[in-house]
Amino acid sequence: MLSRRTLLAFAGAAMAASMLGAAGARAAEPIKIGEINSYTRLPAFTVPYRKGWQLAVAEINAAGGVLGRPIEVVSRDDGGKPGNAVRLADELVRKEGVVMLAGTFFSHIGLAVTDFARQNKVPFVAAEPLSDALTWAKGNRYTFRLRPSTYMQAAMLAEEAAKLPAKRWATLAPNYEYGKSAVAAFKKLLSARRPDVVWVDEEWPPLFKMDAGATVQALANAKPDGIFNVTFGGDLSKFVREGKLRGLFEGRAVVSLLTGEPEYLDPLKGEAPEGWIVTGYPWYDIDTPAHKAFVAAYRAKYDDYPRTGSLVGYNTFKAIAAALARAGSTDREKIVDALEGLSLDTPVGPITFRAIDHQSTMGAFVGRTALKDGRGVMVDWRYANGADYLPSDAEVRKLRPQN
Amino acid sequence: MSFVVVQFLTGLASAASLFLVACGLSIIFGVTRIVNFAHGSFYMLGAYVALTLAERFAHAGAFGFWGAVVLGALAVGAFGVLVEVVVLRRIYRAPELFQLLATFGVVLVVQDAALAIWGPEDLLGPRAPGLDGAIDILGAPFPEYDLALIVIGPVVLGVLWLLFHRTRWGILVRAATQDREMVAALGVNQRWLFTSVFFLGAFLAGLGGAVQLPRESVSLLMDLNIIAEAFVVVVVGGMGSVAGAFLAAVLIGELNAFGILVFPDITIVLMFLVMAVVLVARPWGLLGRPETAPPRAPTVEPPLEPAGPRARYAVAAGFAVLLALPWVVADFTLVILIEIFIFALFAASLHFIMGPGGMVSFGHAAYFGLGAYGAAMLVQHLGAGMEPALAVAPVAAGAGALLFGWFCVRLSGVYLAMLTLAFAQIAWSVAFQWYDVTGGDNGILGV
Repeated sequence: MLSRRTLLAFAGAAMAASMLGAAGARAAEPIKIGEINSYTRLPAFTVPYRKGWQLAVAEINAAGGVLGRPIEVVSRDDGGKPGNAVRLADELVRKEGVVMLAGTFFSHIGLAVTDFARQNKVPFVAAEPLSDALTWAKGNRYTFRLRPSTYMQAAMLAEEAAKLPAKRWATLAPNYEYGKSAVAAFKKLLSARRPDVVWVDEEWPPLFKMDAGATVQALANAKPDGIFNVTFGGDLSKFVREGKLRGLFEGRAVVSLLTGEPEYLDPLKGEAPEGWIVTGYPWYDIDTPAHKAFVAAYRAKYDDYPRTGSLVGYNTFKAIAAALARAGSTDREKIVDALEGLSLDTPVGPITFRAIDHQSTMGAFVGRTALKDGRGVMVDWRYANGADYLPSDAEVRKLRPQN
Repeated sequence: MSFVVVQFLTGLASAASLFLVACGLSIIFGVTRIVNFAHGSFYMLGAYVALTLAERFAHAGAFGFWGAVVLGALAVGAFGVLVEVVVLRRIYRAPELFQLLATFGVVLVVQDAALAIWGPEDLLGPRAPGLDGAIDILGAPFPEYDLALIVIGPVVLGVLWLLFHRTRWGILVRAATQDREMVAALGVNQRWLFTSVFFLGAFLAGLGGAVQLPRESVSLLMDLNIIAEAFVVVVVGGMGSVAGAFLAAVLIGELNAFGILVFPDITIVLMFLVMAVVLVARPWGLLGRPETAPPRAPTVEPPLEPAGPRARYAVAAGFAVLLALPWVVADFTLVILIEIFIFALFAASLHFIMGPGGMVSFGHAAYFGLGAYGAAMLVQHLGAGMEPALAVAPVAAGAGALLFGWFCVRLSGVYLAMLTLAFAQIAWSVAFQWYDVTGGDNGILGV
């Protein structure tokens, strides 16, 4: 016979159990992070990039997630168009309810999402876009950038270029934000180190539509001693082929941005240029324990070697997890505060997101190209720490709008 | 001096590639009157197939390479026949726009197929054996392969001329280009004629792509990159005229080669400028002929009629519902609805100009852009509010249309469409380059 007391006791126990159960279910609710990138436009970079961040997220979730919750990434393809990226960012924030945004590849797309982040007060960790404007001229409280900017990489290359005897320099860059930013930075930094340098020619082919023959011919006609190259992907392949055929590189120094990265160097196979001074990622030669562990994990999961994109994707999401943990909550303002000054360990060493301009101190590998076993590799390389190639705080304050 | 000569020859080599792609398009249009948007896809397929074959025949030296090129072109020709039989045959009687859409559908299918078969990365093809060095021309090195291209161009032109002027099939093709109805009335099997013409056009496009192997990396962007150029060359040369395509290709190739020396930023827009100038001066292209008979009875759009009382009530009710929505639905649904109505407005305006207006316009998006930029620049440079900006937008677009339209309405049919495209591209490239006013390729942020 159930007395009223027993009934009440059972009801109380059942309610407590259900509340605990509900609390337990809420605790496992994933933290949604929005991710946008140009997957179809430059798959050479973005496919390894996606593998990289998927590896990072798998590792994070295997270790119990962040704040006791797993990370769920909602990823979208902007198809290489800034308008799409902004629209997708809107969808991710409003419909999917993501906590923050990450990704983008092209500099003009990065800038568009940077502006979106400012207007909608959403933290945005830009993984790859390199233009200086993201952290300086158009920088804002909500945007952070992982990769070393065009200024930083141009500084690393200008340091090497200044040691060469070359006095007459020509530049070749794709005609959009990234190319313009890179050439402006390199010219400023090299001329500062070597006031005797003369700029004899500038070529601005449209992105991925370069008329290689005519452009190489025009460069050769200017008779430079050194060439600064910013083209990448298909443009780089064309430039290397036509340049070699027309003898453009004979007796000339070539300083080239990003060419040492496997996604741009490997497709050239046996035609890879030799003796170019480049920034890149010699994954095959880095023997720190952290990096070896990263390569082993990547290989185990994908049966393929990592590219620069893999490292970028991996670092981006490890940084996001660290920021969430440091913030202790998914409140957007707290995440932004946590990202400022955040330090973490990566496969290529420790990095910090500077509070003054939200640029991370991730560096790049600087070296020379060479041919080995019929493939292009980087030799005589060193790791240039990003923190050493940034201008003084006073200059940064002038370059970045203070609000 | 040697530099001028070498640059001239470089221009000729680019012209040869352009010509190969464009002449196939010109032939297809001349006979079937179909604007074949999938032509770029044939070009890309030719490059991909030739790449695979060349790698397989790598041990066979020069024979292997050129064999791969020809086999690749033949494979694309066969694919062209497949497209014609399966897709286009059913829609010859349909309005021009549907045909364009159908060929655009083929473009999308080919894109996905290429991605699935060859993967997303750029592939660098092999060099032509025996032609992978450079020879000295007046002291400057010039690639041997470019010389081969300069020879291939006129050779193909010559072969085509022989084909069209010395064979019965060629006579039929030329007759069909002039007057399709009469050819049909005289009992020629039109189906077979169209299919064979399509085969030839696709073969030439595939050849154009295959021949690029030593010069360019093969990528999934090739089709969209080349199609605009091919159209421009065909229109400038005169649709249906192979010699015109050759002339136009040489003109554009040389202007590009020398243009970048004078004005490096002009590469983006040069060929559209040329097209605009040529079309204004010679409305049917350099060697084109005015169409002697309309290709088919144009579909007559009924004029717009004022709505009846029931329709008016329905619209008023719908309007009331829309006004109430912001209080009722979620934020994101509102955003989607806004986008839907923006597109609906654009579609209605396009329908107005193409249907009741009867003018096919490929450059309509330019006015969309002009309106957007007009409003954005007003806000950014003059600090105006939303209402004045919204009012200014259609005025800005209308002013642009007045300017472009003055040139465009003197033409008709596909030439009108191409001239509107030319002006749209010019407007685009001005906006793209004029960094200080329009923000360049970054656009105007933070409006």
